[in-house]
Amino acid sequence: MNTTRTGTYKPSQYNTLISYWDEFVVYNSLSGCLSLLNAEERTALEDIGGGNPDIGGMDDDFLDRLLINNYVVPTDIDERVILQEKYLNMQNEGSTLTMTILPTLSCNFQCDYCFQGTNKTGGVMADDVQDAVIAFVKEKLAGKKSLHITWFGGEPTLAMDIIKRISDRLIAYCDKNNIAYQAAIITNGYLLTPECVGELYVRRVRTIQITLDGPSRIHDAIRYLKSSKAGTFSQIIGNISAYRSEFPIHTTIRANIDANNNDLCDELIDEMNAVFQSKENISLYFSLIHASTKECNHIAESVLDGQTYAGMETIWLKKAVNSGLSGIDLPIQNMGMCGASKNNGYVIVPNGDLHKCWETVSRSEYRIGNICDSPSIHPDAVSKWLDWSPFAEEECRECAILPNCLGFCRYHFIYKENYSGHSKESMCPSLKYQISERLRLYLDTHNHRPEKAAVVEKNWRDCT
Amino acid sequence: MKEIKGADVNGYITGGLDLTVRARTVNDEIIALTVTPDGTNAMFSGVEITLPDEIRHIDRIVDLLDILKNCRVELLDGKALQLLPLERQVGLRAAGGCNSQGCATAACTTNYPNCNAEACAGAACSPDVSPCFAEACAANACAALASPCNGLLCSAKLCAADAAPCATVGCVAAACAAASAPCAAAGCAGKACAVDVIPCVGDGQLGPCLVNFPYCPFIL
Repeated sequence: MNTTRTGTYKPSQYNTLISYWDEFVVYNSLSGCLSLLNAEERTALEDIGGGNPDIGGMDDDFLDRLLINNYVVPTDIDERVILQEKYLNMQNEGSTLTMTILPTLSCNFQCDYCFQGTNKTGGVMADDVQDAVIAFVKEKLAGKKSLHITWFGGEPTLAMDIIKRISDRLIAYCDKNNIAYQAAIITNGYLLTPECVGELYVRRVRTIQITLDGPSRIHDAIRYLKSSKAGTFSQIIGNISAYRSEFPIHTTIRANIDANNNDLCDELIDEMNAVFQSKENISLYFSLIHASTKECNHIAESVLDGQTYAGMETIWLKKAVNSGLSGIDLPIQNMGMCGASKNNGYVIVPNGDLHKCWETVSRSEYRIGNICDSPSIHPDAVSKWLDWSPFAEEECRECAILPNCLGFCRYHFIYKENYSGHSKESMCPSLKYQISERLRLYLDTHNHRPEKAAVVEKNWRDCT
Repeated sequence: MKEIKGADVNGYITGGLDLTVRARTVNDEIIALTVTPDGTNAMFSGVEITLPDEIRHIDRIVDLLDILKNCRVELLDGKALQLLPLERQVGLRAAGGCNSQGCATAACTTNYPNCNAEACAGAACSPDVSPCFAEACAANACAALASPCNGLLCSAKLCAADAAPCATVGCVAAACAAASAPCAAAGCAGKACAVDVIPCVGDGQLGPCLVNFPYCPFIL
C-alpha cells in the first residue's frame, strides 16, 4: 500500500509470536487472526519493528496480508484507541437486553465455597415483584431486537412456577413484538428431571450449566444436600442422562477447582467419559474458585494461585479435548464484556433489587436500584460499574491479550477489598499465562502440524 | 505465510476488526477507510468524507489495498477524497496491457484480470468506467454480470458467505445463521445459530460461551 508504505510500520502490540515445531506462529488478539510463518517470514515481521526496516524489497502480497490481519500497523496508529472505540461500541450496543433473573436465593445445596454464603435469604419472588419484572423488561426492551434471559439463584429450579410464569409472559410479549428471545439456566442439576427440562425447553431454554466438582467421591463431599448432607452426584448424572435423550438442549458441565479437588480432575474426565458415551450436546470446562466475597473469604487458604491453576487447566483441557468433552478454538475475544459491563445488562433478585453483577446479589448495599421503585435505577450506582475501564488500569493497558480479556472481571477491580488469599492477587484469565500452550493445542487439535512434525512423531513411535 | 485464520475469507472480512485501512494523503493527512459488505466509507478527523466511485463501491479489503497501492490520495477541501496517478517507475504491473489498452488512469485495469475477462469495452478502460471493478468481484465471472452475489445480502449458492464463515456474525456452520435467523452474536434466538453449537464454538476455550452466559465466568 503505497500511501503508507513510505512511512514506517510496526508490529501490532497485540501480537503473540511463538515457535511451533520448526515453524512460527503469530496470533493477533485484536484481529483474532492466526498464521504460520516460516523462518524468513518471521524475520521479516520482526524486522519491521527494528527501527529502520527495509521493506522496499518485501513482497507486496506478504505485506498486504500482514496488514489485513493486523500483524503490522502504521507507526502512527495507536491500536489502543482502536480497541477502546470497539470497547465503547460494545458497551453501548443497543439491540440486546441481557437479563439475569433470580426467582429465589434459596438453595437445596450447602456448598462451603458459595460466594453467596451458606446462610441464604429464604423465600421466592412475590407476585407483585414478578409483575414489576415484566414491566421493567418491557420498558427496557423498547427499540431492542433481542432479549437474553439467564435463570439463576440460589437454585432456580426451586421456583419453577415463577420461571414458567415469567417466561410465558415475556415470550408472548417478544413474539408479538418480533423480538428474539433466548434463555439459559444455571442450576445444580439436582431437580432437573426430564419433566423439569421439558418445561424449560418449551420456554426456550437452550443451555443448562451444571456444576460437578470432581468425581463422585469428592463432588459429594463438596456439593451435598443442605437437609440431609447426602451426596448429589449420582442424582445429577442420572438426571442429565435421562433428559439428554429427550431434548436437544446443551449441557455445560462446570468443575470448580481449588486445592481440595485439583488432583481429581483427570478422574472426573474419565468418569464423564464412562457415563456419557455420546458427547453430543454436552461439554466440560474448569474454573478457578475465588474467595471473592465476605461470605466466602473463609475458603481463602484453599484457593490456588492463578498461574499455577492455568498450567493445570491446560493439561485437563488437553485431556477433555481428546475425550470429546471440550472444544478448543482460538482464544475468545472480549471476555470482559459481560452483562455488568454493558448499558443493557441487569440482574434482578427476588425482592426486586437490581444489580449489575451476579457477585453482589447477596449484598443489598451493592444494588443499583429496585424495579418496584420509581425511578428504578440509581444513576450514581450504575456509573460505578459502567465507568470502570480496563484502559485506565496500567496492568491491562500494556497487556498483549487485552482484546481477549478487556479486564475480565470488573467486580474484582471495583470491589477488590472483598477478595482474600490468592484471589486478591491478579485476576487475569488463564489465557494470559498459557496462551502459547493454548495456541499449540489449537493447532494440534485442528491438524495444522507441519509435515515434519508428523515425520518426527512417526519416527519416535517407531523407535519406541 | 499460511493463514490458519485470516481476517478475510474470499475477500470478505469475517471477523476481528472492522478492517479500517488508513491511508496517508499527499499532505500527510490520515484518512480512515472502512470496508463493509455494502461498500467503503471514510472518515477524516471524525467527519465522513466523500469517496470517488472507484472506492465507494468496494466491499473487499484486497481491492481497496490494490487501489491504494497504485494511487496517491488527496483530500479536497477536507471533504472529498481524490485519487491521483502514482508517479512511479515502470514496474511489473504498469508495464503490461495497460498501455496497450490505453488506460486513462494510473490504476491500470490489468491488475484486475476479471475486467479483461469481461471485455471492458472503452478505450479508456479505467476503474471509473469498468463495471467489473466497481463490483469488486472475486470469481472468474464478474459479479456485476454473472453472479447473483450482492455482498453479503446474496441468497444464491454462489455467495461467499454461504460457503465460508459468515462475515457478519462469524458463524462457523456450513449454513450461515444469518440466512435463517437473527445474528447469533447479536443475541439471536434462532435454532440455527452457530454459537449454540457446542462445545462452545463462540469461545472454544474453557469458559462458558459469552453469548449463552453473558455474565461472569467465575460464578460457582
